Formats: sequence, C-alpha cells, structure tokens
Amino acid sequence: MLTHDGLKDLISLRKLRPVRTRAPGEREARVMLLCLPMQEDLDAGLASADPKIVDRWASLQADMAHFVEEGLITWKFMKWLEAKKQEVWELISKRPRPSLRVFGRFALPNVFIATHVAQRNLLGGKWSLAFEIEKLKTEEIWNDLTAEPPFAADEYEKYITVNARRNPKVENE
Amino acid sequence: MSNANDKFYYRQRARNKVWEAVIKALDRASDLHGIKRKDIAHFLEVPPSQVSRWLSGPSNWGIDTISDLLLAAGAEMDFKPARFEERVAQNEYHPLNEPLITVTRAKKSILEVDPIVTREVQMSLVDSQQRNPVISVTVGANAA
Repeated sequence: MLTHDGLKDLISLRKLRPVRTRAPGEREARVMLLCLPMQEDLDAGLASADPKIVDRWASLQADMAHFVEEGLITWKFMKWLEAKKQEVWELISKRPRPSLRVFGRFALPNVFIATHVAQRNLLGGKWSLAFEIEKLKTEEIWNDLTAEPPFAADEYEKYITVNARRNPKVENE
Repeated sequence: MSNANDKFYYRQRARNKVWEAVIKALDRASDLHGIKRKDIAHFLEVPPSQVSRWLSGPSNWGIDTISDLLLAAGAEMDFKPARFEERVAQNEYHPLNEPLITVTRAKKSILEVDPIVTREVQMSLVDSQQRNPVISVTVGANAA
C-alpha cells in the first residue's frame, strides 16, 4: 500500500496533483490527488472559451473539493464499482449536463487517487463494455503510477472515515 | 474573485452545502423522531420516489424545495453569509495537503499553482498562528 512519503514523492514528481479548495479558510481534511490524464482534462475544461464547458469543469472541481473539505459523502455521491475486488470507485458529478464520472482508487483511507474522467452518457449500463474499459483504464493508470495495491476494506466507512454513510437515514425503511 | 470561473465553482459549492445541510437535518429528524422517506413524502404530498430523487445528490433545488424539505424535518435554514476576509481559517489539513496556513487570498493563489513552491514557503514560516504573515516567495530554477 502507498505511504504518505510515497505519495509526497509522486506529488513532487508532478505525477499527482492535489485538489485544493478555492474557499479561503476552508478545511482540507481529506485528500484527492489527480493523475495526469485527470489533470489534463480538468485544465483543458477550465481553460475553454465556452462558458458552458467552463461551468461543467468548475462544477466538477467544486464536487472534488467537497470531498477534500470533508463534506458529506453518500453512495449517490461516491461509490465503488462492481466487482469490488477491482477496487475501482467513481465520483458522481451529475450537473450541469453532461453528467461526469471520475474514476479512481483509494490509496489510503480518505486519500483518493482520481485517475481519469468520462461522460456518463457514453458509458451505457452497469456492465457495459464501455464501463469495463473505464475500469481497466483506471487499473492501467494506477499501474503506471505505482506497483503498490490500492487500499481495500469491507465497509464504506473504512474508506471515508468521517462524515460519510452509504444512505441518508431517512432512506432506510 | 481571482478567477473568471469562480462563479461556476461557487454555485456548485453552494448546491453541495445546501444538499449536505438538508440531508443532515433530515437525518437528525430521523434520529429524534424516526422520520422516514415515506413520512416526508406524505407531508409534502409527493411520491416517495420524488423524495429519493431530491436526496440523491446535489441539485438545482429551488428555495421552495429547500424550505419544504427542511419543514418536513422540523427545521429551517439559518442564513448567514460569510465574508471571505472575515472567515476564521480552520487550519485543519490532512498531512498530505500542504498547509496553506493563513495566507492572504492573493498569495494563496500563487501557492496553489505549485505545491513544490508551497513546501518551500511552508518551511520558511515560523509562526503558523500569525493571522497575516508576510511571505516572500522566490521562484527560481532550483525551486523545482
């Protein structure tokens, strides 16, 4: 499993870039680190001349910062994909359209490595070929980054240890 | 505002914060009074599936929807704008997030673009409790 020092080395080598909040004074109790493909897509989106595209990527950045700021995370915001043993997660950023999915893995509890991003409308159903390709792409980018395995646990709250639950309590019938 | 796309970022940030506040209010009502999705749906006279859609994630809720959901939880929003320059920095960072400490917004924007420079600056700071530290940043070839 990756260590803090190992991750800091990857940040120094610019293979990973931390997501920072833009809000002055805000806490940053969790970590989201962007791999190069994710960095490139985000930077290109934010640099677009089209305000709609800028809106889409700035909103995604706010969603990622919500994770970093220790905002509430539920299964509808962030979840692991089946088969779980692959340890591939997605962050769900629905609005504005198009809905985006950020794929990645946990390096440590509360430390998410975002490998890349895809438009949801291009992925098809749960077990579609496109989804399987994205999971393989996550593994490929991870393997280019490190030989260490991702963090693995059996419960949602072991990945995101504070202010996270699979479902809002009112949803539990 | 230091960035032309800040308005989009802060709109989504507001959606996320309102969503979290409403979910937590409903969860609190569930803890205190056992309120469930079907109770909220009955109170608001909408199908339970509509409640699930509302709660599924940050969205463009109107003020009316926010008010209705909070009323179902026996609550209302307590509005209080927070001016950036008056906000007390929480100084709570994960060890992997290079501390930005309490730098001014202009300086923070410089630090954000280069985590390596940030580390250099971090080492030069002696008093992390200082509200408005004066930081001199020299970016040279050996900084990277």
